Amino acid sequence: MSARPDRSRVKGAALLVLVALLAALVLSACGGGSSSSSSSETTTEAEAETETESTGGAEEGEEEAEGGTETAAAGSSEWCGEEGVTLGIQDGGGLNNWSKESQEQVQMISKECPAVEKEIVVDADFEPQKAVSGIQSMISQGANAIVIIPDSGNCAEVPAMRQAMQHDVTVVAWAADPCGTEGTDYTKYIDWDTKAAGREWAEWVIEQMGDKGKLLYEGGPAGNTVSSNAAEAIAEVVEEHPNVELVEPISAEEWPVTNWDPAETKKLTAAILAKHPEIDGLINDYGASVEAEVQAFQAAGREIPAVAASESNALACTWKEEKEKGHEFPLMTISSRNWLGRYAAQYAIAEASGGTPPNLKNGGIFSLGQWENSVSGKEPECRENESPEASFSNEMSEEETAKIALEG
Amino acid sequence: MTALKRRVTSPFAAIWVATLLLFIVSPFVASGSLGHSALQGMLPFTGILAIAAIGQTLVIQQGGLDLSVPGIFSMGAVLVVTIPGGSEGSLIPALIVVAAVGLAGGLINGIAVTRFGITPLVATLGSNAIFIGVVIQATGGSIAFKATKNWQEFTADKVFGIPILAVIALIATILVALFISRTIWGRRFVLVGSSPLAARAAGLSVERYQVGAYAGAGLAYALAGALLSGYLQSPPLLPGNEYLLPTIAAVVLGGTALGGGRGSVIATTVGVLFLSQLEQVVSALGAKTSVQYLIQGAIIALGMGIRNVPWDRIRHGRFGADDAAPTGPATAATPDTTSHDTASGASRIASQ
Repeated sequence: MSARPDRSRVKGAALLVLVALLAALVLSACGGGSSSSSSSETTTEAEAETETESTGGAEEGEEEAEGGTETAAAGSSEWCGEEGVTLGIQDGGGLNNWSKESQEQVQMISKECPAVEKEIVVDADFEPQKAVSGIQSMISQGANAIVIIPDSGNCAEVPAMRQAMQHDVTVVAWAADPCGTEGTDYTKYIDWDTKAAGREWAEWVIEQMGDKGKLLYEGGPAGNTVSSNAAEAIAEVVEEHPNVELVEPISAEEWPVTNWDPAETKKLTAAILAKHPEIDGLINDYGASVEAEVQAFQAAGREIPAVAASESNALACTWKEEKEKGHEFPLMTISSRNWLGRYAAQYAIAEASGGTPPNLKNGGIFSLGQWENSVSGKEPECRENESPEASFSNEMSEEETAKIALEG
Repeated sequence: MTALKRRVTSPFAAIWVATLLLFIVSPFVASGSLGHSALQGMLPFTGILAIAAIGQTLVIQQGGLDLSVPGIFSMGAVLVVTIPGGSEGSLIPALIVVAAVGLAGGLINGIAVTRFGITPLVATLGSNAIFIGVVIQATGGSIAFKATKNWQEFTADKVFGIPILAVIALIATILVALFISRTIWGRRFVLVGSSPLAARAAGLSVERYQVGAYAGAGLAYALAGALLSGYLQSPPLLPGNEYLLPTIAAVVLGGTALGGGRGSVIATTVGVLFLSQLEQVVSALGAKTSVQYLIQGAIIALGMGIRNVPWDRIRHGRFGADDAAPTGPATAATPDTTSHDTASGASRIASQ
């Protein structure tokens, strides 16, 4: 721009800084308040222990101890060995409630073991390049155990994970298919059985539909393995029931895509509703999405049919509201499975610290079964004062999770 | 007759024709895509995108480009939920803060571009990263509340059966269009966008108008974000990510020149309607996701490409040797003409 007197330039700069500071101040003052690290890369050592606010709520009060070492000593067990561990915690995504709860579950375990000397946290924001450089930076910072959700892209982490293995780093992948080979590309893979979940959802919804009618499945981003496996299993179950029809065709390759985004889900569902006057059952593999899907039914003035989905506080609250209005709809959920991170962390720490890894059922791939079932089981739980996306299955006790995940 | 001809050949006419055609064709291509339920589902999102696109139009009309839509939009969406924390009484203060933060965000962009001479692309890309960082830092990675009940109800409301979000967008479009075409500040705003040099020569404070455009845009994004939060009840952390490219696409489809000067918020809003209906039709077709993207992309490219075909010259058979000028034909000529016109009228407008 043209040359201007210096004074106005200084005034401009001062104004700029002032406005920036004001904006930052207002947001920080009004924000939800948690201090957890997110985006890019964060190294946490002792400060990990000062993280006190958690949306889970179960461990409230228990971890607010001065240094964290007391709790650590109290909770340590066979999986926590003697040798020092630098633990890398990576998430292919990282910017949503699901990722946040997953990280908290892993950190909860790492705090219990005194052998863990340092934590390195990386969120890849669904950018494969960031995910690869994250792993490499962990290796160079001396990590000897990495717990990773490898979902930044389509199998993007495999080469970097292999590189870590070559440097004798224990790599435990969880919650997303790592795509490689156990022993070469990673040490262990721990996850839920997505096909079993698909079958569970489909069989339950079809039962609620009275074995006839039209069923709608909506899944996440194109190509993701969770939705792909679930869609395949649901399509198989539907084929076994000749009077049940799919509203939109689904297979392992194709399904109505919500991108796990509430706005997109609402738009997609509105378009589907406009085309199909009759829909008798819904399946959705992400809690926040299914909440938006249900809202689209409400906005269109349509009755909410039977719903099978991943758990979500908001969904349970909608269910409760509708029930109070006399419009109860059958609802079944499966755990959002963040708590599997506890076993991923235990396994990685055990391998790196010389402890005994947990004896996992079925090689580490679990059939989770139902979490809530409004018809015959645990009633959906709504907590008005907690995050709409909160998942209460993460509050399961050690004994409860052990029943699902451990042998014997 | 001349006035009619000018209107028909106006750069903003194309989007009206395209949108009209799309609506006529819709029911034949995908049954139900124009039904009551489909429109009720589409219009609220159309309204939100239109409000954000008004902001982008203002900036592009000033020869700028605003890539900070995701950041400011998300700040608005998050603040309207986190400040009240579910308490209905705090909604109004929250909305005031949303507006203030939107204006402040826009001011930062405007000052960075005008005072420090940073290219709009770079300045707004950088500020966007800062705004997104602030959102993540302030929320800790997740939003702990739902929108207040009264905000949810307001955004889901209907006026004579039309979703209120669409009505708000329509009113905002008309008000901004009237402001630009009927007020002296509006006329000067157009002059500054067309030819900053002429405006400066006429004694106008060019920077003030440019900063104003960014600030107004910031306000539009933040309010659009706040409205989306209410409509979704529990918004995702960064809902603005989905709104950057559609705002630019709508502005360009509407006929606003990317180089600045020529612009119309009404045409942009029609562009938004076109994009939304196109999405609706393509998704109602039930085609594979990949095919949906291909169709959408092809139609938008076609829409933009057709505008650049020198129809006049083709019609008169003059598209040949004498037109082999190095710069592109019709598009390159238009802004020039506009600037000359406006430059000559500059002193008149400035002195009014």
